[in-house]
Amino acid sequence: MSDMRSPEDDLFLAQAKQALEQSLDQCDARLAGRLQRARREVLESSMNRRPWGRWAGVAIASIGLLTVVFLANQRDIENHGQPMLEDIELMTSPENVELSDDLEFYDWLAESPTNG
Amino acid sequence: MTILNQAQALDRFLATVERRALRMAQIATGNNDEALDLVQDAMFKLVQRYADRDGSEWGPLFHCILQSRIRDWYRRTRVRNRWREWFGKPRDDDSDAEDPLETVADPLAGPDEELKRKRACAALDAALRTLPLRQQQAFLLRAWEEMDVAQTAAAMKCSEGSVKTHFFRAVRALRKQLGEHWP
Repeated sequence: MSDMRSPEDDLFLAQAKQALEQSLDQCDARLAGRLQRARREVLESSMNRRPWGRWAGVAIASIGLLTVVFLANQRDIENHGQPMLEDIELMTSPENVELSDDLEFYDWLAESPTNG
Repeated sequence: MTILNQAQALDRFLATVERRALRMAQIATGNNDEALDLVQDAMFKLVQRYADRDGSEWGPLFHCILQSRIRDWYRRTRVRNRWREWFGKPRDDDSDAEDPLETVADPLAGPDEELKRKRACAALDAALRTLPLRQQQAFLLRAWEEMDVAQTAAAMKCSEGSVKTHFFRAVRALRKQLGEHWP
């Protein structure tokens, strides 16, 4: 099937186009008014929405960035939190006080030759 | 382009297409309120999603959205009518829409030119409403909007071959219905 047309078809199409154009003039005034109001509503609502849309985008990006920073810090705290707790345990346990008393002995042991 | 300039450009564009769009939707739905809703919906979508596009793209995009909305409306109405028939209620188009034949004026009304034009418009309107939706869309986009086959295919979301077929059948059906003495 093709889009090829006869001269009669072309004449008919020109007349149909003209009739359709003329039918626009017959659109009743009330409906035309409603159509104009509809257009204004669309444009007003979209213009009112736009700044909010931009701010919302900035806000979402900021929240995302803060979340990433917070999670990264949280991970650092978790990673370093364990050794810190271990250090506190070492410092507070009685055995470790003994260990610190004998530090001179351990220094001597480290410096002395291993063979012998 | 500033937001204000863009809004003005969109306003001008929509003002040039809105009445033709409304006529297309009226022919498809046979109902002024439904047609107005469809056109406003298409305007919303265009402004929300494609306002930043170049102005030359708005026409094809708008028609693509509008035809898509009309197709959706058509499908919804068909399903609703099927359910209504199932439950024994009258169809939407039986109860709400006026009989297209009643919009055709009396041929013996008089020789006035204005009346003749109105009669020709009403006859075409009635004939267009009897066409299947796809033929109607192909005819209006090709013959009235003067879109080429590729643009029409994009607006109708179908192949170029389908556009040619629908358009050919629409022209045949309309010429047959309206007769040789139209307009």
